[in-house]
Order: sequence, then structure tokens, then C-alpha cells
Amino acid sequence: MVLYDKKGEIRYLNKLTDDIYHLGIKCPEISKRCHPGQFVMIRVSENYDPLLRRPFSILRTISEEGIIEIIFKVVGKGTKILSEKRRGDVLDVLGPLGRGFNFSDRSKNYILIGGGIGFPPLFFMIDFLKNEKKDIIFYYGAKRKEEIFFKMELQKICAKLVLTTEDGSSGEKGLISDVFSKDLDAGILESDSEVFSCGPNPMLKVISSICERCDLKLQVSLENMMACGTGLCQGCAVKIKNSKDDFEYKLVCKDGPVFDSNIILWEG
Amino acid sequence: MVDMSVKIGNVIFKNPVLTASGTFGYGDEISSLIDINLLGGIVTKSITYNPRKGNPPPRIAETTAGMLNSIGLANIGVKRFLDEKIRLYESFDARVIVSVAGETIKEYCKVVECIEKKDNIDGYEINISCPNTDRGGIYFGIDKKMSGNLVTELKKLTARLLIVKLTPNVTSISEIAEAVEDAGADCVSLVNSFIGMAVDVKTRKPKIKKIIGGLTGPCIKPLALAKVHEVYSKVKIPVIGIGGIVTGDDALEFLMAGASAVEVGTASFFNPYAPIKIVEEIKSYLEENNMKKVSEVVGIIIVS
Ligand SMILES: Cc1cc2nc3c(=O)[nH]c(=O)nc-3n(C[C@H](O)[C@H](O)[C@H](O)COP(=O)(O)OP(=O)(O)OC[C@H]3O[C@@H](n4cnc5c(N)ncnc54)[C@H](O)[C@@H]3O)c2cc1C
Ligand SMILES: Cc1cc2nc3c(=O)[nH]c(=O)nc-3n(C[C@H](O)[C@H](O)[C@H](O)COP(=O)(O)O)c2cc1C
Ligand code: FES
Repeated sequence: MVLYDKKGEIRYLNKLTDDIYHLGIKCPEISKRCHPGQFVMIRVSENYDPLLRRPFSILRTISEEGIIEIIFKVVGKGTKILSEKRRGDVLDVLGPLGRGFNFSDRSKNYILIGGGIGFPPLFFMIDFLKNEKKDIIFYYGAKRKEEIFFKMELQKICAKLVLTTEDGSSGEKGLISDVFSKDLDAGILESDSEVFSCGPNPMLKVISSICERCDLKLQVSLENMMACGTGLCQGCAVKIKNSKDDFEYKLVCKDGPVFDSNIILWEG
Repeated sequence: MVDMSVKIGNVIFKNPVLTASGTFGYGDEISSLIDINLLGGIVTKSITYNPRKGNPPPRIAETTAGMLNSIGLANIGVKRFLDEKIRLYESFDARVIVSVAGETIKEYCKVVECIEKKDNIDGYEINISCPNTDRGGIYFGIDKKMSGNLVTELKKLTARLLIVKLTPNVTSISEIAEAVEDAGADCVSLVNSFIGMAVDVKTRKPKIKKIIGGLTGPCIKPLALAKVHEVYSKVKIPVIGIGGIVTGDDALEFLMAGASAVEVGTASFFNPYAPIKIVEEIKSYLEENNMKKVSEVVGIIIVS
């Protein structure tokens, strides 16, 4: 796998809500070679606190301009520092990392389910497939209306866009997993579908059990703590069922972040 | 031209910078990114006889200027190591040191015996920060007798460079260093990680599943340096310095405090080029100070 660790110049950093930002970085090498579901590790400071790079999924690439984009939410030290950067600042960007979504089986209908800040890799996938007249159904759940991004683009590309918010400010009020489950039970969705999901772990766990119940193939993208992003540290382990009645650990950064959900041993 | 090479035991390293065990995988993970042959050597992930799954997650947490880990010696076991990895090293110009771990003296010996049959390996680094299951789980590295016995047995099996990696979580690290020197170790490397802990006050849970883990990174550098200096002043065999090294100056501090070479660990996680950059920076320092050999800086701190 080809990897790059490059100095990337910030081309734009837009504030989308109080704590969510849209960042465009010039990284031609990475931009040219990444696949939906892959991520980058960004060093937000030259100092030792925070020490480690932070992982972010690629939202999309603008390859003519050599740009990669991410969307991030400020949750702690590292993301706070990143949000205070300016146009023209330079960041260390390592990538493209991990194994992204496998959508080689184009005969299937695609159902994408994104929760909160977990939607960027799905957006990349939609963007990637936009010229392929493929019917994509996108279930998109957020806390509130302001946290639903790229609605116009999504409406244009997706065959169907289902929105939920926790406060009911846009779309149906409630959780996206509940609406997905209801639609399945109502027979609205094709049984010959493949599901792709990304979001907080508890949500993925619920989606996983729904898909198992309905015998749907599901790929999920996981977010574990990471130190290196390249398989050096063994820190990002996830428990996986293996052939025998046993388990093994796989690395989210290298073997994932996308996994077939039926091999994951969900915990917690 | 500065002579960057160092000789430790019967091995010549082209420069004094190695990657630390467990922080550089088996050497193939980021070989597309950096040229390993610019390094003095690599130390592999610690290898045990049987594969080990390692500890349950979360295994890592960031702390101020450092990180905690409890990986639990996850590794592919010596058989797969020989089948899948050793071939890589044929094309390596950098020295390859295999880190060996075990829970009994017998296990360490079995691992070394298996690797002895193969070429392309320049030496062993014995990780004695492992619980001895024969002795109720006491760590080898905190007991000078157990550490000495282990080295005596391993010495019988190999003529290759034998480095013993010391844990700092002891009352007197130089006592352990002297014991392994007496038993025939060619070199000691130090330090392994310091025991540490962190709590998430929101969830009230320890940040790593195993509660305590090993602290590494820049925050341990002064602690590690003091240990290296202490051991250097007590033993005659060469010392390899490890702990929080990120820059050439960090490495020079260790060399000046008495280390003949250094290993770089956590720095590779956030800057994969760090080990190579350290080589260049040491070289520049030597040139600027009109030194001809890297060995000239070893132990030259001025104590007046
Ligand atoms: C493969 C991958 C892709 C990701 N993609 C995105 C993305 O597209 N957009 C985005 O906003 N975030 C993404 N994340 C999460 C992001 O990496 C973390 O939010 C970030 O590292 C937090 O850094 P911090 O210094 O601000 O927070 P810290 O101060 O380190 O921690 C603050 C809080 O965030 C949690 N946290 C820290 N690191 C992670 C992590 N790696 N995953 C989940 N929670 C974490 C901590 O447990 C803590 O509760 C991704 C994570 C992974 C592993
Ligand atoms: C994630 C991780 C895994 C490690 N695994 C091993 C190991 O398998 N064997 C070993 O001897 N040391 C291991 N170490 C310790 C390092 O080799 C080194 O001694 C320590 O990290 C201190 O150096 P540093 O501050 O430069 O990281 C590990 C360290 C880290 C951070
Ligand atoms: S983050 Fe280091 S191995 Fe995955």
C-alpha cells in the first residue's frame, strides 16, 4: 500500500455549526489515491500536547485541485486546536490509511446509514458513485437540523434521502436506526440490498442486529482510539470472531476501519 | 566525513539509531514510507513462542506529552514470524534485532532456538518485563537472580549479540544491569515503559481496560536519562538509551549521558520520519563540533 506523509496547506476551514468544521487541505498525492472509507492522520500541533495525530475520515476529494476534505467536530484538545487553524497554515497529513468500503457488488441496492459526525465516509461513497446511475438510499440521522450537511447535494444524488433529528427540527423525530428498522419491517426496502453504516458505536451495534435479523449484508466503519494509524502500535484492536469458536483481534487502522459487521464481536 | 558507526558486541551498526520494540511492528508496516536502510537497525515487536492475542481494548490512551499502552505483547508467535517475516530482512541493510519475550525461561529459550536456525538476524533483545508464570507471575526484570539465570541459559544457545532490555519499575535498575552483565549479556538497553494510569473523569473509568499500562513518550525522557546515566556508571558493557527520544538533541542527551546507541519508540507514531531525522541531526551536530566519530560523544557530559 502506498502511503504519504505530507505537509498539507489549509485551503479553507469553514465553521458549519458551533462545533463542527469543514476543512479542505491541499494534498495532491493523497487526494489522487484515496477510496471511500479511508482516513488520514493529522498532526494538529508541533508541540507534545497533544502528542499523537488524530484520525479523520475523508469526506471527499477534489482531485483536479489536489484537495482532500474532512468534517470534524470539536470534542477535545486536538480538534479544538484544529478548529483554530487558518487558511494557509500547514498540517502534517498521513494517508491514505486503512481499507475502505467494498462496493464491488454493484448488482445490489445500496442503503447507507449515517449517524451524526459519522456520515463523512458515506458522503464520499455517494460522491464516488455519483456518475453511476445507481439507486442509493441514504438514512441520515443527526441531533438537530443544523447538523445535517449537504442536504441539497444528497437529495440530488440519492434516489431517496431519509432524515431524522433527535429534536424533530428536520425530518422525522427520533433515531435513524428506528426508522430504518420500521421501513424494513414495512417491506419498503429491497431485500437484495447491501447496507453501509458509520456512526457512534452504540448505533452501529443496533444497525448490526437489525441487519442480522433481516439477513442483510452490512459493512460498518469503526472509530477506535489510535496512536499510529499504520499498524505499528497494535493499539486499535477490535474483537473479531474467527472460524473456530474463538476470537482474534484485528486492527481498525489496517484491517479496517471498514469491517463486515457479521465478524465483529460487539461489546458494551 | 563523520563515522556514525557503532560496534556493540559483535555487531556493527551503521549509525546509533534503532527503532524500539513494539513501536515499529515487524519492519514491513511503513516500509513504503521510509527507507529503513538509513537506520542503524530495527528491533522487532517482542516475539513469544505461541502467538498472543494481546489485551482487550481500549489498549491506549494519550497523556500529557506521552501515552499509556497495555498491548499485552500481542504478536504472531515465532513460527509465523519465521514463515512470514524473516524473509523481509534479507534485503535489509539495517541490522535486525529480534525482541524475545516469554513467561518461563524455557519459553525464551525455545524462541531463541527457533530463530538460531535462520540467517538475516543480527541479535536478540531480551524483553524481561514479562511476568514469570513459574514464579507466581513476578516480573523477570525486577528480580536480579531470575534475570541472571535467564541470561545464563540464553547465552548457551547463541553466539549472536544478546541485549537485555531493562524495566525501570524497580528499586535499583543498576543492580539488575550488573546481574545480567555478570551472566554474560553483551549490552543492556533501557528503559522499557514506566507503569502509569489515567482516569476519564466523565465516565469514571480508567482510560485503558487493564487499568494500568506502560507510560512512554517525551514525558519520560528525563526519567529515562537518569536511569541510563546510572547504569552507564555501573556497568562496563555498552548501554542503549530509550525513552522519549524525538529529536537529534534528545538522542545526543542519551549519548552524552553514556548510551552507545539509542532506540526511538513513540515518536514513530506521530512522526514516521523521526528516526531518520535523528540520524541526520546527530551527524550535523558532530560535524559542527568537529568530531570524527559518534563514539566521541558517548559519556562526555561535563560534570564539574
Ligand atoms: C477511522 C476514524 C475516522 C474518524 N473520522 C472522524 C471524522 O470524519 N470527523 C470527526 O469529527 N471525527 C472523526 N473521528 C474521531 C476523531 O478522531 C476524534 O474525535 C478525535 O481524535 C478527538 O481528538 P481530541 O483531541 O479533540 O479529543 P481528546 O481530547 O483526545 O478526547 C476527547 C473525547 O473524544 C474521544 N475520542 C478521542 N479519540 C477518539 C477516536 N479516535 N474516536 C472516537 N472518539 C475519540 C475521547 O474518548 C474523549 O471522550 C474518527 C476516528 C477514527 C478512528
Ligand atoms: C505501543 C507500545 C508497544 C510496545 N511494545 C513493546 C514490546 O513488545 N516489547 C518491548 O520490549 N517494548 C515495548 N514497548 C516499549 C518501547 O520499546 C520503549 O521501550 C518505550 O516505548 C520507551 O521509548 P519511547 O518513549 O521512545 O516510546 C512498547 C511501547 C509502546 C508505546
Ligand atoms: S493505531 Fe496503531 S496499530 Fe492501529
